[in-house]
Amino acid sequence: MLSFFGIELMQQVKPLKFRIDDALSNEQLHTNFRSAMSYLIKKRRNQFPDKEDLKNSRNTSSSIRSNSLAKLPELLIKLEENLEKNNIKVHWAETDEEANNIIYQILKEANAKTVVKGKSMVTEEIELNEFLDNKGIEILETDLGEFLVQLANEKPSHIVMPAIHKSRKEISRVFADHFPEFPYTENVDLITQQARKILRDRFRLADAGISGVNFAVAETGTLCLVENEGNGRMCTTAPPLHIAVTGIEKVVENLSDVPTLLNILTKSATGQEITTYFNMISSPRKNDEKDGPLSMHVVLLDNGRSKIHQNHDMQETLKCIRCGTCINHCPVYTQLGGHAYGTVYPGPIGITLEPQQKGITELGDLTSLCTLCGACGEVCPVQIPLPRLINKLRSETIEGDYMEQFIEGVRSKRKPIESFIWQIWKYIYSHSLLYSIFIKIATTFSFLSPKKIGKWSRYRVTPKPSRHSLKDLARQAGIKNE
Amino acid sequence: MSRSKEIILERLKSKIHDANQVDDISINTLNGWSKEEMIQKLSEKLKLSKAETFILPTTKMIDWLNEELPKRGIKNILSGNDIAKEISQSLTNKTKLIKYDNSYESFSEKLFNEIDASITRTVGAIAASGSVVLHPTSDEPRLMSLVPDIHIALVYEDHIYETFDQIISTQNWSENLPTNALLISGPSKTADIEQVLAYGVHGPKELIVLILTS
Repeated sequence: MLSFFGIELMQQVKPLKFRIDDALSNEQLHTNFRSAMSYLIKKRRNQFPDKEDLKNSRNTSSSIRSNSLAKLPELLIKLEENLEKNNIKVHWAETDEEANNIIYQILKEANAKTVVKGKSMVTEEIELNEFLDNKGIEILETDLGEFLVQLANEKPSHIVMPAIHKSRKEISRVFADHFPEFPYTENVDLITQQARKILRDRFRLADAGISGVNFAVAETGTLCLVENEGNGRMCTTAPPLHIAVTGIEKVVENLSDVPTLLNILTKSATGQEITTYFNMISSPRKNDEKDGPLSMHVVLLDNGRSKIHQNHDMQETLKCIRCGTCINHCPVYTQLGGHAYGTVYPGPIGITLEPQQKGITELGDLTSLCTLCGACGEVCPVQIPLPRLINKLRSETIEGDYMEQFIEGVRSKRKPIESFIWQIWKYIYSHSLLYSIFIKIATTFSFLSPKKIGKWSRYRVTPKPSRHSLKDLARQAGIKNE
Repeated sequence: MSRSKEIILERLKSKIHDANQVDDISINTLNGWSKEEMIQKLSEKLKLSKAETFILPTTKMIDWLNEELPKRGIKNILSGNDIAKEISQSLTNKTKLIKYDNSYESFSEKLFNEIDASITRTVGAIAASGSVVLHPTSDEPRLMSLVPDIHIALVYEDHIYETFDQIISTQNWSENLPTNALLISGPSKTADIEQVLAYGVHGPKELIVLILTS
């Protein structure tokens, strides 16, 4: 149990269908997400006034990421060599459990009891907080949004804006409940200043800091972190021990790759020209230096990534730089919010990545949280063909074949009745005589078709076969063989 | 080699299909801004992210400090030895000069609780994004630009670059990166509560950039 500040962690997981119902009937949630998404979409658009520039920038960024993936094994070896040369210890973790244990061992050996953490989705992915908490290590989120989410005993609902689902009033309440020593306020500046006061000594006295990584540069053995608040710099600079956790795909080959990616990342993520801080760490404190961590570790996490890398049709999933812009532009996410997905990564990238990591049996249904509108693919800064990947994955849930070697549960969502109906459909549509008879029946008896088709027609007009087939209508209009 | 490393690398290498075709990675072009344009762009962009900028001749810096620091209620200022040498003689007694002269462990309490402002040099600035670039040293450690409420950064006009690319290649960073390199573009900020911008979360509440001309 997370016990500091009186937080107790309880997660109740309802089936997807009910989570969707809950999300759709929550007006407050709707308002919060709709306004937040419009805001982010607009801010991003303002950063890309020139279509041609955006196109070039996306092309270059996409190439950089493809290059990383094409050379992934050699780049990881080079990264490890250069990090070790810089006195940063490297650990490889194949699974989330292994990563957690490695981190725990490092903390234990350093006798670290209190940890401050910078925002990191990969540590959410391995559920590091829960793991360390169970081992009696206090781990505190320090990004304001993450801190609020942790206080409220919830999970982030967006990968860049974790507390986006909460209104100012809700946040004020959470704050007042945990810190009665401060007066209740709904003033954002005041809440921010209270958080500053609360966390300052925590940074100063923490035994260790944990962070994620935005880009790991193989050429120089450098870890790059992007942030606005300064908590990331605090976590990676003040405590005597710094542990960075990163997915193996985050490596880039050269330092010269970084400016392009940084530029498109911040513009896509929050519509900023650049974030307040870009922090490039290449070494722990050297003998002649006065501050910085005394020792540094990097955990390279696989957790399913190497299998995605093997899967040629889905490999581009790994190009992702976690900017969240696909999420911001997704109509399904805007309706549901992040929590309904029940996964660490929501939205288009979430429904692409998560079923590949955790298997289709558990998460295959997520692929239906897509309207196939294509917006995610159009905005992705590294040109991941998300609509195509989602579609591919969706079909794998029913009728895949070779992907079995890479993804668990291929075909596990196949329903015999549904398949049977489609088989008949296919048979009729591929036999012209049968097709003519079928059309004749459908047009003649269209008045017999049901007025309601369950929930589907609750908000939609029920479709009804026309009295005349398209073929007839075309003939009447004088169109022949076109 | 650890077992996990072996497994991961084996899988990555055993890719069944060929690597993706990689296009040429194009290099961003420069606009060729003049010195004046650079100063103007840098200053505009910094102001957009709520940093204050002042353009003044290097010789007038001390006057600026003597006038502005007391006005802003800054009673003490943290500086490295190099800057201290330059200003300690001329700084009025309204502002006390403090040095980061100990390791963090023995200095942290003072650093977090007693310092009003810090003043650091930079290795340059980036006009296009409005960023000051720091390579902290033992004289000006990493936390100097993060912990105090106010950070004053000195940028010489000759060290302003157009883009991040340009400073990396001109200064040959890939051969000599410091332990920590930083791009700072404004005071610390957040928009985590209802997308309302609030400044001074965990880092400095104010960033003041002095662009020094010859």
